[in-house]
Amino acid sequence: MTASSLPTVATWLMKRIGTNEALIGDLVEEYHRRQSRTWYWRQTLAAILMGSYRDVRSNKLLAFRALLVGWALSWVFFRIVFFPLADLDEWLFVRGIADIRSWWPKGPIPYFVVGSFGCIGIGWVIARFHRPPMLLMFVVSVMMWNFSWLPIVMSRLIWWPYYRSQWYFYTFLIQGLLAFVVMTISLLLGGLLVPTREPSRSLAMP
Amino acid sequence: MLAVLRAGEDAYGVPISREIEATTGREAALGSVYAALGRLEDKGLVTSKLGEPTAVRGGRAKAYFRVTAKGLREVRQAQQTLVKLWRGIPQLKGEVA
Repeated sequence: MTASSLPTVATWLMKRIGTNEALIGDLVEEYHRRQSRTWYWRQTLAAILMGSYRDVRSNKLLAFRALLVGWALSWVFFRIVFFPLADLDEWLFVRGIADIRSWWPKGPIPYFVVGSFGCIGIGWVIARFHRPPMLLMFVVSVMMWNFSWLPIVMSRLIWWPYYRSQWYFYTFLIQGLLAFVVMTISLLLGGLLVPTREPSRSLAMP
Repeated sequence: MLAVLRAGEDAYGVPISREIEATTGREAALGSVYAALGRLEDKGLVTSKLGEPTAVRGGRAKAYFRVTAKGLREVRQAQQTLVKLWRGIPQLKGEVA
């Protein structure tokens, strides 16, 4: 058995999040005995979750700052920047600056692209100026916020025949997709763009 | 702390989690074991020391744990408390503890 047959993505994830080196070593050693990729992945997720929880608990102020920065940036981005950028053709045309409506992409593509880049930026800022588990915590808070909208989504789906022919429904659907999938992936992607820090050798880190 | 004591000189993550598994019959996630050991270390009940990196661990060192004098006192106190609680329960009389 060689180290190359290890689930490399799982090991890489632990390194990225700053998991304790001795803990990774223990998992590698035990993996050689058990030979189970499922076991290794389960242990990896547990190590990341437990470590992140511990890191957030022992750095409450930093965690609070990460949440504050994340939500403030999200508010600024989605309230002020998002729509003018996604509807740039309309924005420029209404102000008499330029008419790019003929070649500007229609439909959900600009929303997805602009939303993705914005969230990548937000994820990068949180990961760059805080610890990696703080980004995970922010992503969890975003997901909780999104899930709180689930009853409204469900009610819209119940009234599907009424909204079927209306642009409003599609806009709503796009926003929902953006919030649930693209936002989460892009935030994490932004965190991955930050260079890896020196792995933790202390138990105080995850 | 009992698992650390039972593992003896070789008390690092793997033997500690195996001790827990053997005693309780449940698999202990190594991440949870490290989280618990971290809390115990914060309280000064255990100390950790890094060993030499080994190839089988991908060049990573083992973190050896040892129960401190304060930790031993806490274990003894917990044992005495449990024994006191165990005694004098009529429903358990005659059964092997």
